[in-house]
Amino acid sequence: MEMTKPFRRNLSFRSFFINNAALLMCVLLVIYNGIFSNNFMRINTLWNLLSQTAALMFAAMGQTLVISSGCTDLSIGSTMAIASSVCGTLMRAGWNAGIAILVSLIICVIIGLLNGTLVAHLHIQPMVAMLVSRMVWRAVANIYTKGITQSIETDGIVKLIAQTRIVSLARMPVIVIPMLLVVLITVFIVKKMKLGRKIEAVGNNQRTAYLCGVSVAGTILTVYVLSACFAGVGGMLEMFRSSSMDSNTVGIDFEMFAIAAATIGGTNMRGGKARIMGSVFGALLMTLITMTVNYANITYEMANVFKAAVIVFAIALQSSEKS
Amino acid sequence: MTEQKTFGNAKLRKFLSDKGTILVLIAMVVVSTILYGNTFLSWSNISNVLRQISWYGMAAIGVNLCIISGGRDVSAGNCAMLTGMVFAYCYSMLNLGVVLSVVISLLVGPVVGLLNGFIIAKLNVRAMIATLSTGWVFCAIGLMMNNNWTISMKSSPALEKFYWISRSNILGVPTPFLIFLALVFFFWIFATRTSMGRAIYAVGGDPESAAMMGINVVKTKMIVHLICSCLACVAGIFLVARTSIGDPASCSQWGFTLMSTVVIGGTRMRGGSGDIRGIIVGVLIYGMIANILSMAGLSIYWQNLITGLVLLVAILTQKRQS
Amino acid sequence: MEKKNNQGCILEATHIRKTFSQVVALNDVSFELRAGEVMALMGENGAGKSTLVKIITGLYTKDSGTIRLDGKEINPKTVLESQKCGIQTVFQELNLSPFLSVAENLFLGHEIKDRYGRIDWKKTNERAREMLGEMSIDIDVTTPLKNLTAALQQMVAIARAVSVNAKVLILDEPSSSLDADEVEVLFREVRRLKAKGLGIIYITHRMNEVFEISDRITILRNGELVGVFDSEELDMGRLVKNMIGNEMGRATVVRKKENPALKDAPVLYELKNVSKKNRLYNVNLSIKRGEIVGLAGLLGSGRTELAKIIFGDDQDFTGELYMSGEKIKLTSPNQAIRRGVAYCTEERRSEGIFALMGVGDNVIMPSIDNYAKLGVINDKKKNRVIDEFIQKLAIKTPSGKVQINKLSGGNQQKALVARWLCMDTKFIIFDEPTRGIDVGAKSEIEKLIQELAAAGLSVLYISSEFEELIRGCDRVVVLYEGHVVDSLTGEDISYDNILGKIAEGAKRLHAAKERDGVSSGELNARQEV
Repeated sequence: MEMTKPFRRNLSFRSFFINNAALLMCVLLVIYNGIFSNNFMRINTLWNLLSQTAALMFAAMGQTLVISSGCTDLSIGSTMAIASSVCGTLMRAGWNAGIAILVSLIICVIIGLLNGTLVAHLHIQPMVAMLVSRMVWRAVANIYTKGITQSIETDGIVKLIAQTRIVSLARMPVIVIPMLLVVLITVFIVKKMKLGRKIEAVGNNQRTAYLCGVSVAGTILTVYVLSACFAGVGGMLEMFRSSSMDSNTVGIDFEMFAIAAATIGGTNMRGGKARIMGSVFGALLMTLITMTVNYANITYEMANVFKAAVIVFAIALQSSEKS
Repeated sequence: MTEQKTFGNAKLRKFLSDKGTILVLIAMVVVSTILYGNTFLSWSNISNVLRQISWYGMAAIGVNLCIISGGRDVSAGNCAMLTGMVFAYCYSMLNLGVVLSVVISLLVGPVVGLLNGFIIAKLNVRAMIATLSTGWVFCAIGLMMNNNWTISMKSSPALEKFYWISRSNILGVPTPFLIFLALVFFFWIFATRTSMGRAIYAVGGDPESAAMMGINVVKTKMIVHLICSCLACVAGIFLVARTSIGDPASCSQWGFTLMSTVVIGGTRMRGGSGDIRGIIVGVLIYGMIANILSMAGLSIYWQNLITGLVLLVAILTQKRQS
Repeated sequence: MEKKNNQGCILEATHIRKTFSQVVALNDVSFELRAGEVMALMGENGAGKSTLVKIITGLYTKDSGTIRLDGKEINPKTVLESQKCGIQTVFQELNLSPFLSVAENLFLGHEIKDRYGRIDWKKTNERAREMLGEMSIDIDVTTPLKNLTAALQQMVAIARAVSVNAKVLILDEPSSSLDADEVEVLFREVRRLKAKGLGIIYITHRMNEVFEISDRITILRNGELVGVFDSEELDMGRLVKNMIGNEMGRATVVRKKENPALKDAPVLYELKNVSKKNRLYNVNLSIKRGEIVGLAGLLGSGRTELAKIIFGDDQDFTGELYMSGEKIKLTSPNQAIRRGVAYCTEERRSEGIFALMGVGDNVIMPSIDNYAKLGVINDKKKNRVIDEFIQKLAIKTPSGKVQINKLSGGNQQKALVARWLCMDTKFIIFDEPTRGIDVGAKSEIEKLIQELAAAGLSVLYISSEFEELIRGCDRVVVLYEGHVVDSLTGEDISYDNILGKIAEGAKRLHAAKERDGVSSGELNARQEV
């Protein structure tokens, strides 16, 4: 027989659920909040949701690409800390914002290259290598800023992007725009660039990719660099939004949120197809969980418990899926 | 001629790989003495260090077993912290008295162990990400117990007796350290002279072969995680007995620190080999790093940085050896 | 007629049938093993011998048939169950724990304990030494297993297997990583166990060994039992014929017409003195432009190893590679691909397809740079090429976006061939291109290969189906155990000749081993083939 279709009905329902889990959960929480929380169904809530997700979106996009290639990036939060620490410190020292940002991005590229080298050339297990990276870069950021929280003066374009709202568009925060941009860039990479095909190939089967002439090491290096750069931008954006630089707390646990977003969004931890829209909803889900917990007057930490449960649930679901 | 040379080199390399960590320890002691002289060598300093490292040494034994079995557990540190919080909570906020509080906190270990074991062995989630997630949860729960604050405990005669386990000396040596050594010894016997211990090594070396040789891999993995969490739990009791507060801080660092300790102590990340007694050296080296850094006046951030780099070097060295 | 209980018959499998989805792996196969004998189990890929063994050891469950051990019927559902009955197996991977000591490996699961329940290492080590001593082996039993040579590790595996209740011992390709001296040690042990009354099933593809060590030989082919022979009855020639012989095939295969244009065609790819430890010995091979060269051989002849070297996937060899007269060094498949070399791998599932990606993505992966400017893919161009090849090769798929693992084997294979055709390929290696494919797709692929050569491509055709080689190749090179035996051209290409050359190769290797105990390149008297 030419094409086999075993258990089609079960398969498609289950696949539907797995592929859209993030969106479904978002819808669920929106409905729940709509019923149980005051003043939830307002346009302003949407804007809050989006602007609070902005930095995380950067992390989620980067993490999705890395997971798609079969690896993981646990150093995202620390990279955010470094980028914002360097940028903030330079700006406080009087540097031009644009140049400060550029310098921070260069450092992010270096971090990404180091990460990629540990995994692709030195063949250290990605999780272990990234644990090291996470610890080291967070420590460097803390040493650099001596762990002191500083305020950052934001003005000009930076303030425009991070803090203002477009009055004519129902007061939409401008910060939504860079968030949309990073999503678009990631979608573009995955769907339209040969890098996207190579990432998916490496995630699918490293050996076959190698036999097709794909540079596995090069691809892995590239995803780590992208992840680090996205994380850097996200970290700096967050710093500008809050006008404060705190190397101790910025980006804490962001890599975990990003893993949750990517996995519940449908990207398989073993590597393979990158489900960007799933990760987008996964990131929104993370913020929705935080908001729900807040509205219900439960302590903030409980949100992390739910998010951890999301990770376990998503991965358990993936593991039970027969490939 | 060339043959003799390589023979000599091979012997040297084997010696270094087996006893290398002890040499590093000796080197560090020498360097510290040169740099800090009496401040370092004073008994108060040394006994202080020994006392401080005892609790996570105990947790490290469990993480060591876990890595030997081919698994990972980065939630051990958080489990210990949670145990301490539970104890402080029971004693201070529920007024349950020392004994009952200890009993309840000792339950944390098995519960955590079963949770980890279930997620890893039954739900088939990879150990690293599973314990990253559960560790995160324990951290969150610990923070929730007193709204991100520590829980302090009012002194009482019963409590003072409790503190004894962590604050006293036996024959001049800090008690917790002796208990740590006893635990190392006990688990060394367990690892080398019981069937379950050998099964743990077999599963770590090659799980498929182990299954073919009749070992129940799933059961072994669950037992390992149970042991690991229970040891972490006991460690947490010793910690809270020393610090007298339930402290939910510095969560993300312990999982990593314990892994470093294990790797420094000579256990391979790939699993299947490793000496439980190596933990003693690993924990001493780690304690010394912390000690040297604090005597040099460097912040905890430097400690984290250096621990990270040390772990990296240890992993790379292991790779070159194999 | 009522079958009398064979004297000392220890294992009896009758009328075993096993199917996987649509494929019949074993069709009414009966197998019988006597106590105190060595029974060789032989057959090429797909013959069913590994399926039979897995059923006997409990890894698979049979569809129908009975298995009797010592007269009692058994139905093992797991390996442990069959082990308890007394069926012990030493697989090729040995299945021992590499970091545990030798003694530990021998006793894992049933260590000797003292009265406190702790393992008594002194006694365990002593007993281990005794056990190995019975095999005339004297080593340090406390050393980790991985420090031993492959041969010694295997001895430990055998010792463990027979230490607990062994009535039947199955050895799966035991000599695959041993040299001649080590094989002698293996044989000594096998004979010792035979004398103790064990029934031994010896699975191998090495014909010299079979005659030396086995009492009887069971031959399977395509899931059917060909026959059970006394080893004295058979010789190399008849053995080979029984293993691969296909009476129908011999009669109906029409040889390919000779291509006169090839005489003056330039040499495209050449291998000189290529050797790989234990796998290839002084292979010389050249392929002309537009020529289809077939590699014929049995399991273990080194065909895939050769393909990997040609493609740059394996740098662990000695010898030289030449392309269009220029000496080349390939450090990765990427370099080979750039030079126009393509490799259609044997393992479609694990090395060929990206299972979860679309057909189109699978096709364009090596050539992806051709459709991208500044990293951005030109979808129109890409889809045009994909559709073109889907049509050209008649790949049955609704579109290029369908996930490739939803296609049938034949269509998957066509997509993989298309992969190499949409690039500037000069030389393509086909490794078992028609395996696991339906008949219709098979002939389509064979036709395609002819068209490629006619268009000027060089082809190296590796196949266990000799009919295909006879039908499609200009020249057939026969390999045996890593040695080139001979090269057949023109009218010499025939079934009998190929089998004959294989047998000849086996005889020469056997003679060479008798002479100096080590297999070496000196067997290969031929230079250029």
